[in-house]
Parts: sequence; structure tokens; C-alpha cells
Amino acid sequence: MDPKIKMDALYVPSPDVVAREIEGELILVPITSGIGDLEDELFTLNETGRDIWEKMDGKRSPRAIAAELAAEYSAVPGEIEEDVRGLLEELLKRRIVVEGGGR
Amino acid sequence: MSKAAAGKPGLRVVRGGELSLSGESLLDLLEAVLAKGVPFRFRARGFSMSPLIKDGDVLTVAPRGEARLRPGDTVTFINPLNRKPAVHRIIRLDRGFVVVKGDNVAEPDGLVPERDVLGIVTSVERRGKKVRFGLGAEGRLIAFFSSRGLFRLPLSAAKRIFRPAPRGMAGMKKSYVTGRRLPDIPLWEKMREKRGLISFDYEITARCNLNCRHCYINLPAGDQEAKKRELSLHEIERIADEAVSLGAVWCLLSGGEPLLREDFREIYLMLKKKGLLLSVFTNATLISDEHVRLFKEYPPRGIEVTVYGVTEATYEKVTRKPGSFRAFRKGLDFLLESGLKVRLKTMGLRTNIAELPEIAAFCRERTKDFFRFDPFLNLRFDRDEARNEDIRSERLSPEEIVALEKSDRERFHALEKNCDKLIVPEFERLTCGHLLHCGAGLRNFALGYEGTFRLCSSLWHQDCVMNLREAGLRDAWEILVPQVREMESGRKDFLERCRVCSLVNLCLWCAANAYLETGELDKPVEYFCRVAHARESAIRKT
Repeated sequence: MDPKIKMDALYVPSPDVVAREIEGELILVPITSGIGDLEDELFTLNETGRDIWEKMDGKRSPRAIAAELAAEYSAVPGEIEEDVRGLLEELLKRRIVVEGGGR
Repeated sequence: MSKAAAGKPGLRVVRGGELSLSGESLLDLLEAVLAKGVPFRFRARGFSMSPLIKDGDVLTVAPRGEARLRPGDTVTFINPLNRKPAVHRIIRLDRGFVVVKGDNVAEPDGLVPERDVLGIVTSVERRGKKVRFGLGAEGRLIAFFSSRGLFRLPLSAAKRIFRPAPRGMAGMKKSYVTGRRLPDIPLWEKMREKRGLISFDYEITARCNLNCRHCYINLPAGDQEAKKRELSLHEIERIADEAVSLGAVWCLLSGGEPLLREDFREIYLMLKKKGLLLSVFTNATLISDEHVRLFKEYPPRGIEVTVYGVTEATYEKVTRKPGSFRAFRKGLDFLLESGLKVRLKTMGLRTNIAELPEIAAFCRERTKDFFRFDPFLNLRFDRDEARNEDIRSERLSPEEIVALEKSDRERFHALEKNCDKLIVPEFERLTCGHLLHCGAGLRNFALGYEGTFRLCSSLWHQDCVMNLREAGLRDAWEILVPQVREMESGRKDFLERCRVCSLVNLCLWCAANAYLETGELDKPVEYFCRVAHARESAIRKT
């Protein structure tokens, strides 16, 4: 059963993942076992994914992030919210983000 | 920073950066050859035409003849600034002149009279294979974009790959995260376009609990002096931070025996938490419950273990340490039973040659995807002559090496398949004096236990190293490496024998090994020569 995202909760990058920028690309490197399916699996985010990732600071909820992005991209809020939810669900499932924050 | 410049006689440093042809009289030669209507082949240096032409590629230049020059042509021309031949692309024609520019540089070289365009590059070969991109119709497109400062091929290509790809069939839920195996990361493609740090090898200690006869770096485990010289956790962290900021993704931890360090766990975790992918080379004899737990929780990208023998007698004849065979078997079983990814390999030695088939079988039984043996033994990093004698006595004869390679069907087929590329008669026309034609220092470096930066793990010559306790990694990477890569030899027997040898791809010779063998970077090595010729006759016979 895949984890469900609560749109008003707070999420932060997992301490078990190191985000690195190499050659202008965001690369997520898992440092503990069980995150990638294989030992040498890394993750990359596309530009939209990266925008969401960078806003995930433990102070903004998914809903707030979606609202900000909707303003930046001048897109339909509902659509962006769906994208934020989709990305976060996948990140949560892989333990790349965890619930928490409010720091 | 004139370390390299002050080197031994016969070595000199020339300015790098531009893709200029090497050799003082090359221009004369080039003009003379092309005037006869014969194509000219040479090895390119520099990065200004990347990605089409990379440092070390072999170019063929056809004479211009009556052909009309066109924007997009990659040409050799006489650089108006220094009257030296160079290779760049024509981006514009301008009434009897051409405007040329390197694909990878911001500014054009200026106007070059058409008569100073000597020839057109018709083929680019990299490691024996032809590179197609950018010489045909795409060349014109590149010229078009290049003239507008818009040539950004690697970037746009990478972006396309980074876009979210719907997973599975159309209409199914789209995926937002791309999980990739390391070799598939498009970043590699991107980094291939230029010199940039990807990985480094770090010998965290030179000490080892074994005392292998053939080893080039094993000081006694209890050597307190050597232990004192080892980098501290803090020093390692400073260098690692710099390496990571330069882009390093991968780090190999080796030794000596890395697990001998009491703070191995701290070093490992510190590097891991910087987002480095770690591989570990170990003899497995010290593997404990704690190591297994560490590796299970924070998986290395790989663990490699060398199998010196599969009987106690052979193993311990190599390692000269009673009890080591039992410790090795126990440690290896420990790793394998816990499901960690282990790769096994061996060295072809005088002491274990009779057992090599059994060793190969032992390895293949336990690791399906990987097994390799290495018949070449490096001499000591410290040039310890007594220990070098041990190593030489473990070396196999050229005939034995060839017989081994022939018996390894996969390996020999690979050799056979590449046969006409392994022997390259064109090399006989090389006039380049550069010592390094390999990839040393282009994407990786080696770090010694006491902080010695090297371009590769074997290149120990004092003109080619830097102490990272006194200097920053960035200085080593950005100043030392280009200087070393520009080192040239004027030595007659090197230029007339090794540099123009068609067997260079079969030969163990390189400047680093030459130094370890002879004390000089550009001296031929008889043993290597014999191995290369033995390989040649084996290939020609089949």
C-alpha cells in the first residue's frame, strides 16, 4: 500500500539521502540501504521536480508549495497540486523524503 | 609552481589549452605531406574542439586540393597568432578569409587567410573507433549555432533525458522521479564532454596485515612511522570536501589494507554522508561482524577481494602470513552470506600460476558477473629495491602471460576481435613527444595515505605529485595536472622506439610504469617490450 500524502502536513528530505548538484543537475544519492532498488541507483529530478524539492524546507506544506508554483508557472492550481502530490508520493515511497519539519 | 618545468633533462612543459598539433617541425611536415596530396594522421591535444575532438583522439586530415571550403568544415590551419598549426571549425567565409572557432571556446580565432587552411579533418578516431558526429551535415548546423554562441549540444541533450518520462504505457500514471543505475546517468555523457573530476582512489593506509610478495604498497601493519604519516579524519574530510565540490561522485578506498585503520568506520561514514559512492578493496581477512553491519546499513557500491590462492599452502606462500588463509575464507564467507555484493579477482603470480584454473573456478562459483586476473605486477611505490626483487621474481614470463590470455577464451576473443586495432601501423608516423596519452588526471586522481596527490595510482614521479597537506586539491587539479599532461620527452630511444611503435596498444609501457621500472619517465622497458611482441605473435598466428 503506497503512502498517502497529506497536503497540509510537512515533509523534508530524508537524512539518509544526500542531494548534490553536479554540472547543474540535482542528483539524489541514497546513503543507507533500502532506498534504491540497487546499490548503485541514484535519482535525478526534472526541472519541475527540482522546483518542488527546493521548496520542501519543512515550513511549507505540499498545498502551499503547489500554490506558490501555480503563481510562478501561471498554471491551473489543481493540476500543479496533482503534480506535487505525485512527486511527493513517489519520494515518500522511496524514503527520499520523510514527514517532519516545522523547524 | 614550476615543479614540472624544473624536471629532469629531456622533459619540458609547453603551454596547454589550445588544440595545437605537437612537435616543433610539425608544420613543415604537415605542409609537405599535404602538398603531396596524401592524408596526414596525428594525435590531437587539448579540449577546444570537444565533444567532436577530444584530447588524444587520432585525426586524419585530407589535403584541401581544389575543394571549396564551407562553413562547418573542421580544418587544420595556421593559427595567425602564433603561426602554429591548429584544428578548429570554420564558422564563416569572408572574402578570401575564413573565420575559425573551437566548438568549445567562446571566441573565434579571428580571420585566417584561406591559403593558411592546410587541410580538412575527415576522420576522428577515439580508442580505435571512428567518431562520426560533427563532420558531416551536422557540422554546418554546429557552425551555424557556434557562430551565434549557441552550440550547447550536451546540455540540450541532457535536458531532454531529464524530462519526466511516462512510465509504461501511455495514459498510465506518470513518474516524477527517475531512478537510474549508475552507468545510465546522463550526467556521464555530459561530463564526458570536458575534463572534470568524477572519481578518486584513496589509499587510506599503506600498511597491511599481510606481506604479499608481489605487492607494491604494503608496509608492516605495526609500522608506527607509517601510521603517524596517515591523513587524519579531519584532513581526509577537507580533501573530500574539495573533491566533492569539484564534482567527484565515486571514491575507491584501498590500501594497504583499509580495514587496518581503527577509524575505518568514521572515514567510511564521513565520505558516505558527503554523497560519495564508495567501493572498498580489501583482503577480507579482517572482516568482522561490525564491518558487515556497517556495509549492510550503508551499502558500498562494491567490495573487491583478491584471491591469492585456494589452498592454504599457495595462499600463505604469497601472503607470508600463517593463518591468513583461514581468516580470508572466514571473512569472505561472512561477506557473501550477508548478501553483500563482492567481486573476486586474482593476480597471475609465479607462486600461484599452477593453481590459477582452480582460483578462477573458485571466483566464478561465488561471483557470477565478474572475474578478472591481472598478469602485470607493478613495482613498489617507494622504489624499495629489495622488495622490487621479490616482485620481479613473481612476474610471469611473456610466454606464460600469452598462454594464460589464450586459455581465457573470453579475453582472447576480445583481443582477437580487436586485432587490427590492437596493432596500429599508423602509430609509426607519430611525432608527438607528450608523455601521457592516457586518461590520467582527466576524470580521476589518486590520493596516497600521507596526502600525496597523483594523476593516477602509479604515477609517483616527484615532478608529477603534490602534497595535499600543503596545497589545496583545486591547485593540484587545475594547475599541476595540465602541466604534467603537457610534459614532453626529447629522448631519442623513446621517440624513435616506443612512441612510433605499432604495438603500443599491446604494451604495458606508460610513463608511470617506466618511472617505476627505470627511474625515468621516458625510458623503454625491455620486459614490457617482450610481452608486447609475444602478444603480437600470438595474435598474428591465429
